[in-house]
Amino acid sequence: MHCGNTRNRPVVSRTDTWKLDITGRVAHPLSLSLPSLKSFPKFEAPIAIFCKRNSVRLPRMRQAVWTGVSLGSLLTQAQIDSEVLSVRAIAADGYETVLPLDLAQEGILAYAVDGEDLSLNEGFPLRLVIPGIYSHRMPRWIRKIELSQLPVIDTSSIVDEVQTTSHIVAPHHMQSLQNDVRFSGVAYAGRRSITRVELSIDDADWMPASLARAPRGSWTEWEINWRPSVPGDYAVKVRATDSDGCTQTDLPSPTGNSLSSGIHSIVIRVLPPLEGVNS
Amino acid sequence: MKYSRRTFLKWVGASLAATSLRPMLAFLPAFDISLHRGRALTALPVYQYRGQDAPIVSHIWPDSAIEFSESRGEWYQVAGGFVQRDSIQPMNPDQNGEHRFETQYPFWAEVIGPAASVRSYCAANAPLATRIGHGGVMQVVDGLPGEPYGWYAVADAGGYILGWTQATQWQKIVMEPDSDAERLIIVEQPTHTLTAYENGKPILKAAYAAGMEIAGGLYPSERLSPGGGYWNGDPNYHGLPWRIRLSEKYEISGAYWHNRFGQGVPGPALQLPVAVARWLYEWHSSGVPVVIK
Repeated sequence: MHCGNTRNRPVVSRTDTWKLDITGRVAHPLSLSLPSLKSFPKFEAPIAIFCKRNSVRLPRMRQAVWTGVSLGSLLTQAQIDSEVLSVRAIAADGYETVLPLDLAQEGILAYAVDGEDLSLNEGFPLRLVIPGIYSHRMPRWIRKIELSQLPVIDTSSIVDEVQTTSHIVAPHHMQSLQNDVRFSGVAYAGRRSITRVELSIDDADWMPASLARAPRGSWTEWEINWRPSVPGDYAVKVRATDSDGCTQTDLPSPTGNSLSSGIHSIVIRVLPPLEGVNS
Repeated sequence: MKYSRRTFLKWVGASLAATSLRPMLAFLPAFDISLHRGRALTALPVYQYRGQDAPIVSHIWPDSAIEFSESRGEWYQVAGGFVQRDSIQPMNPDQNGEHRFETQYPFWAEVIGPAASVRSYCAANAPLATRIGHGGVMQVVDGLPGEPYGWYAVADAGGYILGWTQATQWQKIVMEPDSDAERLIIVEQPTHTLTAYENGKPILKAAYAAGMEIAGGLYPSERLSPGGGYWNGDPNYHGLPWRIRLSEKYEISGAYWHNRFGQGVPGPALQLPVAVARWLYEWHSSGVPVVIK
């Protein structure tokens, strides 16, 4: 899943000359090669990445264990000025984003994902990963971090823009099934937590699903079993409620061009039960 | 589908047990009410023991068919715990036969699954027109065979097409012929009971849910079309089954949306469990007097 700085082709293909510069309002500017970055204490966390340009039909999302260096610890090493309010992250393709300092300090400068070095498309050699915000705020191919005393305008919108969303992962649309059906999927609300996921079959009342515990910044996995009574085609839809008490609706997103709101629905086909099973 | 006597007794057993009203009729055998099938009217919490303060151990899907046993007070026992009685609609336990797609239209059909969705065109995710619960009755006026399932176009009594619904949820109704016996229905409002008499002997007694107070007196009843609608309330109900008209204002009918028989509820005047309403409808011939007390 790639989202964010996609305007240009990846430009970093070798690491012998690549460096990460940490500059601006710091006492000790840093210029770190990949090996020297890897010598810092390793930081690992499961973090979900959701694209703001999500679609309920074709979700752009991924959850993985990201490995790298805590940006907060690097900034401590660089001894940032007490007046610093924002962090500007600049990528090798020219893409850049500005984040409030406290949010950026929670980030990971990741050089590996799920135990493997980042691929070029994943942001090799380094990308920023921050729990609970959209992925376009986390540049790939990052090469420079610049500290500034300028405040980020409308800081809260970076966090608040994340729409609560939920998806059915299994079964898939138009899958034929027999006997018991196990629905499973994920829900995500950025830095808010998911408090409830519900399914509706054939437009009947909503039914609560079981939720797995999820660390902050990762998606919440859910599942629920259903035993159909009569064969037929059934429309199944899912919705989530977050810790602010907001429940997904069919309404389009109020935030710009984001398509990440809306209700995910599929159709499944229930075949007559196999003879001798669940009679 | 035609009801066998055994089927009816079995289902009515469930309905009567559901209303905590014991059958008083000599011909009703000691039918087996140890296990019944019902429709969950909502997303049902299953409690570890009887009582709303008990821990919730699981939930039951709304509009799913479940088996329950042991009706005690306000509670049914289900797999894993107990659920509140008024959230389960007893279902006909014998409607598990092979589905047959009918091709001669029109005909009257009843919902044999827990509920049927009626949609604006033939697709499971098409916009929903309405949902009709188990036992609801509509007129099928057209069909679209398909593999593996076909679709029926359903209409109300006036022929107005409401939408399309999956044929697997419906079964054609075959009516019993009338008999020549002398019949009478007595409704006792203080106890919410309806008793049907044949040749002077009571043959059915059932609890009904009262939508309104009915003026006392003798009513010459009339059997209407098997399905219709109730349009005076919020919500309204399509597929109102087994309607017997007493007057412009009052009707006896089945109710598929609750299990609160024996008390006052919103909706049509005299609401019976759909199995009881069906039996009464089939037994009824136009002109049977109804005494309201």
